[in-house]
Amino acid sequence: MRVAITVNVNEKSYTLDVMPHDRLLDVLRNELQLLGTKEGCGKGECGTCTVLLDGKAVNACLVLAVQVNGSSVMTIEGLGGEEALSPLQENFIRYGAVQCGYCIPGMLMSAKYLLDTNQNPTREEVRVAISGNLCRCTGYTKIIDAILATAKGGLECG
Amino acid sequence: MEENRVYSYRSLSETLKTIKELEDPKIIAGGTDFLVRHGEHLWKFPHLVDIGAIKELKGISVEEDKVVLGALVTHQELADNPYLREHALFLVEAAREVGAPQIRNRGTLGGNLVNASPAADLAPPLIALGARGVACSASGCRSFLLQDFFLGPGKADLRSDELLCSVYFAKPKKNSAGSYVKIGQRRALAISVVGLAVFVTLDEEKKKILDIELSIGSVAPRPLLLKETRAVLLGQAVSSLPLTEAKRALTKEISPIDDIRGTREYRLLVSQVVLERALGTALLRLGVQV
Repeated sequence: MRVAITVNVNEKSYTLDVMPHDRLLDVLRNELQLLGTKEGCGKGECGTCTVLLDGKAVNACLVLAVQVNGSSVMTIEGLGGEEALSPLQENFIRYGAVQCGYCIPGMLMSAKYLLDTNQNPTREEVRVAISGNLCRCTGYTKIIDAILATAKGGLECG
Repeated sequence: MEENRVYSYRSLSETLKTIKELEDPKIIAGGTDFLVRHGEHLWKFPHLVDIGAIKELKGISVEEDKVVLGALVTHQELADNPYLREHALFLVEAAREVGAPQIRNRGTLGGNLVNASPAADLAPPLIALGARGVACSASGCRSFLLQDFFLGPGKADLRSDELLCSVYFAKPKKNSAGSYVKIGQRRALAISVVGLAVFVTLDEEKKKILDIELSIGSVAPRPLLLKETRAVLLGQAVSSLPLTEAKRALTKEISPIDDIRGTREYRLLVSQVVLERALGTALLRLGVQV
């Protein structure tokens, strides 16, 4: 039986009919065509589906769509815009943090969550912040460098 | 064909009434365990009860004589709580060990305990704090010692019409501190190979162990409250702790097995290391170097 939910995604409000077993990940990708959020494992271990739910980083594969009724979600598409990338995104490019790119949306969302809650993280705190995001290409160092540089740059988070 | 339904109420009594009336209701809170386990066959469950909105189950409250943790408190909320960071840091340490940030923002205290994994990270520190749990059904509530809640791997002492509502413990006394040490195959997203909590209370002069509780996970079918090890250390002078004897007692009290995360032999060895490490950290927090 379909359930109607109202959810704010990237600052736009949507009313959607979802199935009880639909995951937030499914609704984002299939209903809203927001493909930046990926499914890497489907069980909360890789972080490629990381989004912000009411400001908190979560795995969209482990949230049911019915559970986000009345909530707000930010996906990678909500970070920066068509006109200009966010400081985090700029630094990911500048510091060579991107190789294949698959882990990057999730990494950026975890980084945004970190900088939203901690403006001056240590290197260790950055590592903890991305400990739920796997990367097979980069060895993480430049991702961490980019996040630290963004924090030190004193630029507005994300 | 019966259609699948999701039930979600803000009121505890409404929810308890519903789960009593439904046939085979499946409870979901944070979903970080439930959806890993059941995500691929949710269509099999006609009745899902999402308890995440129940207001009575939320929040941490520090009362005059006790601290009450609502079952819906997330690992991150535990980790962020100023009172716990000041007075029960080892519980915060355990919460920080769970999963990764994304999991900690959704996974709950209630879920961690009800899933009853012997490796549940929140169990040892709470058991060491002498915590009690409260379970409620439409007929009423009952409280119990937390260590009695665990019946075996994956089996909690909870009826199908009950919800675990809260966990509470007496406010830690002066001159007491704890430590939680976890061994895992990774530093995040790891199920513990061994997880040990120590909670020590020293005398006024900080020379003797006035009281000590130890609890360990992943080395038996349930998280254990260590009695023999406690007996060896209780009343001892901190300057001459009988560590060798304590370690020997520990190896006799635990019954680890070989599994995909480690061998029985490794767990017997590393538990002893962790005991010494956790004791050292707890005492250091009280200003005592051993």
